[in-house]
Amino acid sequence: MASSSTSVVVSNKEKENKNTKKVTLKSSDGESFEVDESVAMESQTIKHIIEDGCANNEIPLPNVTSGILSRVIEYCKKHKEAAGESEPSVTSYTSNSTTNPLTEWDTEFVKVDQNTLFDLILAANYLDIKGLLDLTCKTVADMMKGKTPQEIRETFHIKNDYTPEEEAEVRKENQWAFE
Amino acid sequence: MGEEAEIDRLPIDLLAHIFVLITSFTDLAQARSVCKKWKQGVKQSLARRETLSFAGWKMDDDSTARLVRHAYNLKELDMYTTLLSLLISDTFPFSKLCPFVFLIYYEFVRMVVNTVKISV
Repeated sequence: MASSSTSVVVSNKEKENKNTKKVTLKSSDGESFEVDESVAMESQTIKHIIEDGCANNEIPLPNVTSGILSRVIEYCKKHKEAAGESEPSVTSYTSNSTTNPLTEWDTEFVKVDQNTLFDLILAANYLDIKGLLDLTCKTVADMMKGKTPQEIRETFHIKNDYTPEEEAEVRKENQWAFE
Repeated sequence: MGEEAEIDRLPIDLLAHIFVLITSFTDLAQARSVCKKWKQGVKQSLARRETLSFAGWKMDDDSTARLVRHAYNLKELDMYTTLLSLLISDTFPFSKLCPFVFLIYYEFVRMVVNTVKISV
């Protein structure tokens, strides 16, 4: 599980003479990640910092660990690239073949343990990256589908803090949702 | 069973964000019953919703009123089937009155709904 910070920087060096503007992000555990400014600006939080002229050397992100930050950067890069190639892939929806390639990538991206998933939600919220926030939250929402409260508690290890009376009352209020 | 509830690290407003993405009222109802924090989260998620559809559900007027009261950011409300199911329900008084009175009530609702750009 070594950090993959080097792989993040690589593709930038492969670019031609185009002088793409870079920015350095620093995780809470002190690791630095150099990324294209345009990729970093997928985060509205970072975008505002840059636009306010406060991004001198590095942008510190005290709420995000290196492990999570590298994943977030991976997401932003992928989605930025996809946005760049705006081919008319609309036609692919009509053919029975496949889903939008990014959908599959996204699905794989969120196949992580709960701990990482919640870290990603918190990071996406802090960094204000709507696509990532919606993706991760939808993943959690899907984990609840069709489950009873007890099953949900077991899935997420949640403690039931209702008294029996309170629980009965909530169940009564919920009657309308069940035929 | 000493596993920690990692999901407890999420503040209520992020829980609400998750619940907004739940489309089934059954699932929402189940979420409310999980624990007190989640009950708050569901309540907040109703406030945030821009659309609320009761299509297919048989609601009584108490529950409908409660849900709509919480959903104060509503831009779209599918009222048609709600009204129909209210008609059928025993708790809805207007079904017992003459159709004319009900029509006036219905038109009033439509007017309110159109004023606030809610579709019927």
